[in-house]
Amino acid sequence: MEDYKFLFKVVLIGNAGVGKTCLVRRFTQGLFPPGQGATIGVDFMIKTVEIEGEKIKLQIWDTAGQERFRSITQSYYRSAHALILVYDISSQPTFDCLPDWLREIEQYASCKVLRVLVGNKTDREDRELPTHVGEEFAHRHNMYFIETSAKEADNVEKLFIEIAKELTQAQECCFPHPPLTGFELMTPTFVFFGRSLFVVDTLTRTAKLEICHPKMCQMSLCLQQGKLDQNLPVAHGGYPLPRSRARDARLVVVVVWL
Amino acid sequence: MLAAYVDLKKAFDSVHHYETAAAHIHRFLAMDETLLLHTTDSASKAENVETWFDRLRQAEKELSSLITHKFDEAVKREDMASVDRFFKLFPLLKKHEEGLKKFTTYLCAKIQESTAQNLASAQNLGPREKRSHVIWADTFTLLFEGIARTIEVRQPIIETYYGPGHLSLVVEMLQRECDRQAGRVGSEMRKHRRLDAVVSAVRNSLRFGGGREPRADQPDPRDLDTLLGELTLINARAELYLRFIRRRVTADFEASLPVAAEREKKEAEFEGRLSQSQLVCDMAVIVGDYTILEQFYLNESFKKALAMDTVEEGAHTSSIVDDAFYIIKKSIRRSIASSSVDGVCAMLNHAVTLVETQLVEGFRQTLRKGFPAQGYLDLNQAYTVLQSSLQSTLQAGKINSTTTDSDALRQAFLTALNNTGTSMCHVRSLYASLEDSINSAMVGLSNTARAKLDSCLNDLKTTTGKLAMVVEFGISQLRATAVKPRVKPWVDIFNTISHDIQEVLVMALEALHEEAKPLGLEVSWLKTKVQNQFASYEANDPFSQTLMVQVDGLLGSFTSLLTEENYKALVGVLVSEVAEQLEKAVFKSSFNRLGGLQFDREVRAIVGYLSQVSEWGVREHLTRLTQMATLLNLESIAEVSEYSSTTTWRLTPSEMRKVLQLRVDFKADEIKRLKL
Repeated sequence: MEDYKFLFKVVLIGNAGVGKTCLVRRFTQGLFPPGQGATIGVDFMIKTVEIEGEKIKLQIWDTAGQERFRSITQSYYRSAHALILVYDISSQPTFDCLPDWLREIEQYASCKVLRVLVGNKTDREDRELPTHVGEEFAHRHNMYFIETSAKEADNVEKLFIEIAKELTQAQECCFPHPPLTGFELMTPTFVFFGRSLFVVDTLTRTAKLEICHPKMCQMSLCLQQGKLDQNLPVAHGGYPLPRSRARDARLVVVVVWL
Repeated sequence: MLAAYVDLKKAFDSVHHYETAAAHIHRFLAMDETLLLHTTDSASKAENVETWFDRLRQAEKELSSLITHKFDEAVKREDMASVDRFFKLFPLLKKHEEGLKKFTTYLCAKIQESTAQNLASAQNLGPREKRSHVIWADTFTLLFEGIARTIEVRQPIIETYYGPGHLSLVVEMLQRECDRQAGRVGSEMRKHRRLDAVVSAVRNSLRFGGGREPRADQPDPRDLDTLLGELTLINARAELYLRFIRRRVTADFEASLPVAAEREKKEAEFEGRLSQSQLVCDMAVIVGDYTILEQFYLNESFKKALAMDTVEEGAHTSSIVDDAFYIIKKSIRRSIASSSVDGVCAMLNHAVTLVETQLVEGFRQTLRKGFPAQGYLDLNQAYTVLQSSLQSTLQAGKINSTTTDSDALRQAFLTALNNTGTSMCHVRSLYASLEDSINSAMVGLSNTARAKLDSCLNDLKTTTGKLAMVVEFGISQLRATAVKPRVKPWVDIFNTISHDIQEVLVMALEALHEEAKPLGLEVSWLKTKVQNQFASYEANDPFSQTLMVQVDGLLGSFTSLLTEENYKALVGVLVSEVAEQLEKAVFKSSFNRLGGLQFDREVRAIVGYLSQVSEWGVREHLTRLTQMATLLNLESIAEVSEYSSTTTWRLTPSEMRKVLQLRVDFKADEIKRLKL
């Protein structure tokens, strides 16, 4: 049995030909295979990285961009810890398809998935999409953003390492610090933790946490509206907290009793 | 050399001796011209030799064009024997590649011809014919088998006359023909099975779905059964065929390329071209279409099963559990039959999604509504409930519905709890059986393919964790409403009985008796009465007896309603609830020597009973209680250390002190001085 602390599933999606396979090859094998044929179905690679002295295993699923394989590729969204949505900075159409991809993510992926937007092929001279356009799109949709070049090995390592870091941090937050388990809380209890909202089911006493998407917690809060004190800071649950604070793992902001 | 030429001449003259002629040319071609020139001594002779060479070269040219011509003629005449005959001659003229290409082109034409025939008969096959439901899979099979047979039959000739190492060229050419023919069969199949229309209807339904209203163009999942079967068969045949040619070509490389590095390079090149071949792409598309349809089949069949969900009389679970897992198993098994790793992985993923979003969430929702308390055991409780129900009656203006409502809720709750537990068992057995069928049906997988399958299979297995959490949640709900409030009054009785008073009372009475005797008063009847009371209490103590009867009653009301596993969980919860509450009650009372003895007896009875109804693991909960009784039943504090040498205390030192302090006759400072 290999020794690793966490295993994360990372799934790459995006139009055909934006360089998903090349990104994966570059990262896992250090290669840039020229004339890479279209991926058929789903490819699978594993790479173990080290984050703060801990071994983190990344299971990378490289999916085919073509519409025909959608049922196969979509089936991987839900169990993914991170989704990397790739477009080609030298191809406006690949960028124009991003909203469609987001819709798919909304429909099939888990609400707590880490979403990363990647503008690939920065080595290309014929750039059609300035960096800020990608950045704005990512910001608007609450995604991380990075530009890469699989050919020049630019930012590729960083992309995956950042994802591993972010996921590790989120995982560690999921193991509640003791204070949560000891409390006699009413059920369910909402706890804000970083950018995410947790629902603590104290009836099970083990304080299993579910991380929810900002949108979700708004829904949950609305559902519980009948029992909710209107003065409670619902707004905090309704909107993502600012990025700067989201990084602070110790930020257990509010505990709301319903 | 002269002799060679003369032979050649003769051979030419006798038209039919191509073999001899070719053999001579072959000998000539094997000679080293320049070496011969150099070794010939005189210049004149050398000149002479050169003319001979020219003539021989001329002859070679003539012969090769003659053979080519003859070969083509034989192909035209469909004269198999001649085709074979001339094919064998090309290598003698060092025209391996040309020979192979010409020959393979001929083979390709044959394949094309037979596929055209097969296609025609497939198109003309009536819908009621025996194999009409898989006719397109059959047509594909005929194509693949035809090519495989061609390779099988021709390989020995090629190897004998051309030597090893030439198979990949032939196979690649055949593969291109296969690509073309498979494309033709595929597009006919799509047309006849209306595959594209069906797929797009299904895709729409999946995309805008979750649909309450089935769309008009949405197919009935049952109608897809045949099509799904055929699609899996097509891919399975293709996989079988691809495996065959891979094996053949690899063996040929092994025979011809002794250097491992070179061989691996060639193999990788071949594999690279094969894996990007049109056939492989077409098959991936077919698997993609199949997966969409299968996903739809799975989801729609589940919806139907859910709509028809019923609980049969006397059953613990409702029909959805068995139905859901039957459907899941059927879908994944079918995907395994397709031999497509991506197809199987996708269906495993879709199954996990179904289990987690439908079953786990559905059961959780039902359990979240809670288990309404039933049966009122003491007046207080009954009164409170009465009041609140009166209120609600006043508000809602109805009386009867509340009890039936809560009956229905209770039933739904218990069914959901049982369904969840049973689902866990189903997932486990599904996992085991799927792993078996994958291992037996999908052999020779690459490491990547194996890792993909393992990862997806593992995801299926981990759904048991999610289900276990829901069971745990349900049991905790049950504890909150069905166990805790009922255990409380039973344990409360404990505090109504003093564990301190009897002996004191007896002593006081004795003193009273002594004092009263001189006065001639008769109080002995009082003493006897108290003693009798105590004796009967000892023999048949009201607290533990009642508790056991009540626990038995509670458990009895659930035995027939819960699955074995859930019943065990309930027993565990009940035991720990009793133990917990009793512990609290103990700390609220005080004990003397006799009270301690009495308590020890009570605990023994209760623990004896509870151990009998529960599993070994549950008894852990009771150990603390037993140890408290031991402490309270000591003759003196000094005995603590005796016990400590043989007992692993489940009580903390401070808890032990607190327990000892409950004994009125133990001195506080002695307890404090104890080394624990």
